[in-house]
Amino acid sequence: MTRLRMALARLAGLFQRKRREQELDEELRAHLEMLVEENLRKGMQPEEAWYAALRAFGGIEQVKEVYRERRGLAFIETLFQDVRYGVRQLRHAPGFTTVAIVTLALGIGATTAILSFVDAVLLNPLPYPHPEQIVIVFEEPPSGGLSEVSAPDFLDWKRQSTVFTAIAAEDWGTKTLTDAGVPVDLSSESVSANYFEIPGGKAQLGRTFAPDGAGLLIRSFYRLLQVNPGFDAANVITMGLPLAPEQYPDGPRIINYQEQVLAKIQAVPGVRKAAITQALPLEGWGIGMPFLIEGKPFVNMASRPVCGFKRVSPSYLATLRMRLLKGRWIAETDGPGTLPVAVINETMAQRYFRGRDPIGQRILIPQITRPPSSSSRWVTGQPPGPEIAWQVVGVAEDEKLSSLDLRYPALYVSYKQSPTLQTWLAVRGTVRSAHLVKSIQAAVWQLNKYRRLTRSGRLMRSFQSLWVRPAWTRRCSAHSPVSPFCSPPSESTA
Amino acid sequence: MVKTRAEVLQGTLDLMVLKTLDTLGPLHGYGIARRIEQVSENLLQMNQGTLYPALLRLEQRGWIRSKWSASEKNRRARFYSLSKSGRKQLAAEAESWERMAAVMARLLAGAEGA
Repeated sequence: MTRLRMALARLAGLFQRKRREQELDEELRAHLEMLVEENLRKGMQPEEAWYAALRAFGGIEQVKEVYRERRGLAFIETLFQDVRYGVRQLRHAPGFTTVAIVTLALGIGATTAILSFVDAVLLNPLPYPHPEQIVIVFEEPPSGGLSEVSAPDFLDWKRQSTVFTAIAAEDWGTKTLTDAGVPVDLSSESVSANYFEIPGGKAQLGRTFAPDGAGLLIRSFYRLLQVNPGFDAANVITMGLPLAPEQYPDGPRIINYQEQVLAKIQAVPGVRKAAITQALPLEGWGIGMPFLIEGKPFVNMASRPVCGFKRVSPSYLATLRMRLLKGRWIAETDGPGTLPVAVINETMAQRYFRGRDPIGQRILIPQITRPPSSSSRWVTGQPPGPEIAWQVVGVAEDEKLSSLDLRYPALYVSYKQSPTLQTWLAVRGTVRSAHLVKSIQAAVWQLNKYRRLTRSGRLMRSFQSLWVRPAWTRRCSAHSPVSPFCSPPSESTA
Repeated sequence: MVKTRAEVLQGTLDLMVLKTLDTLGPLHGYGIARRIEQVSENLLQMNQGTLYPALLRLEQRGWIRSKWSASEKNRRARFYSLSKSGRKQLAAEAESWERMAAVMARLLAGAEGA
C-alpha cells in the first residue's frame, strides 16, 4: 500500500513538475518570510533580519536540488526496487502468477484481435473511396436466414431502386481453364457489367466490362442455370481424338481403332463410362444433314429441312446420363452389316412426327462422303451420295446444343454405321480429376504414339467449362461454336 | 562542561517531524522547524531548509499529508498533518529509537563505570 502510494506520488511528480516547482517556491518563500518576521519581532533591522533568515534556512538552491532529486530521480531508483519486490512476491505465489500471466495474455490477445477487427471493419474497412456507401444486399426468406438474390429481383431492383447510385450482381464459383494442357480449376466471380463501378476500381491491365456486351450477361447466366441441358456434366471429362485419314483410310479401320480406344479407356481405373462422339454436348452436332421422311411427298434436296446428324458410340447415352423417352437406344449390335437405325431427339419427334409414332418410321439421308474441297455442297443442292434409310428405333430427350435455349431437330446413329474421323471422347469418372485425364491419355498412347495424337491432348476440355460458354459467346462476341450446318473438313466414306 | 550543537542524526529528522505533527496537529514547515528548535533548546544544528526534502519523503511514503491553507496570519501556507499509517510508523520508530537509546545509555553507563 505504502509502496503503491509512493509510486503514484512520484508519478504525479513527474507529470506536474511545473506546478510542483511553483508550489515549492511559494512554500520556501513563505517559510523565509515567516523567519524574517520572527527576526523583525526580535528587533533586528530588516536587512539583518533577512540575512539571518537565509542563514537559518541554509542554501535555498541546495534545498531545492535535494528536493527535486527526491521527487524525480528517486522515482526510477525505487521503481527498480518495486519491480524487484514484485518479482519476489510473484515467485512466492506461482499459482497466482500463472493465473495473472494467462489473464494478461488473454486480455492483450483479445484486445489486439478486437482492435484489429474494429480497425479493419469499422475504422478503415475498404480501400475504396466512400466505402461507407457500399452495402451487400441479401434477401431474407420467410423461413429466416439470408438467401441470395434471384436474377429477376436483381433486375427489378436495378430498374426501380432510387436508393443506390449503382447496383451490381456477383456470384462465386469455379471455372475451368482449358487449352493449357491439363484443365485447371480457377475460383471465379461472375459479375454484372457495372460491377467495377461499385468500388470505383480500374482494371490494372486492359479494361473492365462494357455495359452493352456484358449487361446481358447476368440474364444469360440466369437462363443458363434454369435450363436442363439434357445431360449430366458432373465428373465428365472430354478430349479430342483426331484421326489421320492416311492412317485410317476406310470405315472398318476407323471403327476398329475407335473400338480399341474405348476398350482401353474403359479399363482405366476411375473410369465409369467412356463414349465416342462426333461432337461434344454444347458444341453443336458436328454435321447437319438434309432429310426426308419416307412416305412424305418428294422434296428437292435443296429445299429439304436439315437435322443434326451425330455419330456416337452406344455408350454415349449412359456416359452423359441422357434420358431415353421412347423405344430403344443404339445397340452394340447395330453395325456395318445390320439395318441402319437412328434415335431421334424430342424436337425432331415433335416437329416432324406430329401425332404419329416415330418408331419404325424411316428417314432418308444422303450418305456422307468426304467432300473434295469444301463442305458447301449441301447448300448448293447437289446430293453427295445415295440416300440411306435410317429406321427410327427410339426417341431421346433433347441434348442442348450451342445455345441452351435453341431447340434443334437431330438424330443419333452408331459410329459403326456411319464412321467418322472426327472423334471426341467423353469420359465419366468416379470423380473429376486431372489425374484421370493423364491416365486416359496414357491408355490412348498405348495404341497410337503418333505425334498427331499427342497434340490432341491439348484439346482436352471439360464440360464444366463449357457450361457458360455458349450463351456467353453468343451474346458477347460474333464467334459461334460449330454450327449445325457446318460440315467438318475431313470426312471419310462410309 | 562544553555545550555543543549536535548535527541531526541520519534518520532522526523523520521521527522528529512525525512526533511534532502528532503533538501539535497540522503545521507548516516553518512551524515544524520552530517547534524542533524550541524543544531542542538550540542544542540542534539544523538548516531549516533540509526539512523540506524530509517532508516530501514522508509524504511520498504516505505517513504525512499536505494541504494548502491560510496560516494564523492569513498567509497562504502548506500545512502538513499525520496520516493513519504515519501514526503507526511513529509508534514503531519511537519504540525502535527508545530501544536504541537505551542500548546506547547502558553502553555509555557501562563504559563510564569501567
